[in-house]
Amino acid sequence: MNTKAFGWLLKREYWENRGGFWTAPLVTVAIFLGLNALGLVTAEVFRGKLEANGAHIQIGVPISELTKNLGDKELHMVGEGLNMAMASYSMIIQVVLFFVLFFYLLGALYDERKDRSVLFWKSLPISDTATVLSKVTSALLVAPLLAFAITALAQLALLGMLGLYALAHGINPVRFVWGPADPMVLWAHQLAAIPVQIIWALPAVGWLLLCSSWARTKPFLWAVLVPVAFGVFNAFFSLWGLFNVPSQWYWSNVAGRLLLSLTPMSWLSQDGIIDQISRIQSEQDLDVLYSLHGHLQILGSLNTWIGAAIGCLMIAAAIYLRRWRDES
Amino acid sequence: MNAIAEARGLTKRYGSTLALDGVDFEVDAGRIVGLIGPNGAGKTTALKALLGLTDFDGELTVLGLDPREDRPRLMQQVCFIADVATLPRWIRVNQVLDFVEGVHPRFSREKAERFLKGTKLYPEQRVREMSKGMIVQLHLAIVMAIDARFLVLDEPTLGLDILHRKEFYGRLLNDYFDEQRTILVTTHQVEEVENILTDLLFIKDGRIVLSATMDEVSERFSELMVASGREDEARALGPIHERTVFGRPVLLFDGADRSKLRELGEIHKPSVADLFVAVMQGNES
Repeated sequence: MNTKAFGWLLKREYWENRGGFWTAPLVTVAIFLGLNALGLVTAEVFRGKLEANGAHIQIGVPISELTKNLGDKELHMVGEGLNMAMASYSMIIQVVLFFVLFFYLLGALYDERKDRSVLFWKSLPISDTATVLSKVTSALLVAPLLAFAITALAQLALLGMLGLYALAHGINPVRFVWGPADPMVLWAHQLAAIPVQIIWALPAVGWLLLCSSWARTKPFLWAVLVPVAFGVFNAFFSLWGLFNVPSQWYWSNVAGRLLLSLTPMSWLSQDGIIDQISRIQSEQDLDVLYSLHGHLQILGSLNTWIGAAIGCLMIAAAIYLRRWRDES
Repeated sequence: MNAIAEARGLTKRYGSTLALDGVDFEVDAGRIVGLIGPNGAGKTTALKALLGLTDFDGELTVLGLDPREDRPRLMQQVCFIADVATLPRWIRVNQVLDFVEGVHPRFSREKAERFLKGTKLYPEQRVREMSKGMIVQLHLAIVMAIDARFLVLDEPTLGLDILHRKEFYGRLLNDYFDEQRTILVTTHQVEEVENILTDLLFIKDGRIVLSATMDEVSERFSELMVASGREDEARALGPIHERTVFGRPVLLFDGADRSKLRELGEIHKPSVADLFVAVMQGNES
């Protein structure tokens, strides 16, 4: 495959989907940063009003006093708190990314047939394989990297904002905000998740592309209804004792993988890692969030690789359909 | 071998309908061939087979290649405009030029921009903001800037007004066509292409019913406007079609002796449209 042409295919995907890949996450973080800023301003306004009435607002000791007495352990906890705040930005963007990618993949091979532009694309010397793989690459690499860049910018903006707020209250932002916060750990963790995500999300990418290239109308309904209907029938059949695919297993390993494994780090729901997180009590437990343990564990599981292989087969089927589909 | 495209026993079945029924044809280099037939005759299917967009039975080579195999290589030498408005609606003029320049080794950006100079299109304009006529101008500019050997046009001017239709074929003929290139065009608007065609292929019910150069057509076919009182003599010569114009019978002959016809009335060269009607209706009876 010609790498220069492939680069242009990726660019083409970006042009068409800039709204989803770039604008949507950007607007989302802008809104959340705006809400955070509003929160800080509102607090100031209320404080100002009350102080103008002669009241003196103080809960416990003054913050500036408090910070003087913080030891290393407390500073570490401040850092954890800041990291959690930053991580929440990652999560928000990952949720947005899930929806963007879900609908991007459903439309990727469907919209071009609907508006007949596929005839224009096919008049150019590009193989169907290269075209479909450029869509897979956009979903699994380009969009996540863009989302990561936006997340990192938003997290820096948040730290900047909190630092300025601290400064306005006579607190040294370097020592109490920018020092304890550790965005690098978050970023390393998030970047490390991207390659794992590529393997993990293949069944969903394959399934959505297959529906997109196969459905004559309403790819969304096909994509969702087929696995759901199968799950429902399966429940009835097992009630009747016809055959017995355990429901729980089907929903998490088949339907869930086909539809939801686009969700970044959704593998954490496997093997009880999510339970571990939900039981977080002390700050040591928080480390599970940043450890690469979950990543490695999922790459070591046969389940993951079977899913990836099935995903690749479905991508191959989507390529075949794009090549030979004759709608007349 | 001078054939750009060659079909032997080309057959395509959709379920129980036979879209192409063992078709043979040849398209030679440097020709402008009109593939003409009624709706559902198999025109589009034949083009799809030529472009490698569909599977088929029989033999078909385009530029020496089987279009089912190695399409990307074939498409370096073959261009097509399938229908008006297949350009994606979201793309901008400069994006589509960038993209084609990036992926097509035989595209000349400079040429395309030269063709676009005379139009109202501007670089930031999106296809969705263009009229049908402008979309076709853009598509044609791209296609003409590609140094390809075989251009396939499927109803390229459908839905355009007459000014844009005339401009389309004018440009194609003046700025693009030469002996190195071959054009295959299907259209319903036969009148507009008949002066530019060098060859005719009439297709009906999945079969080629006429395959001839325009020179052969004017050799073979003659149209006779019969003088009054001579109708029976004229009909006795075996016309393939008869119609009435201003109350006078007009008979179309295939391969009749012109000196005989001349005694019975006025002889004209039949238009492609009249010939088309005659061949299509003639075959029915």
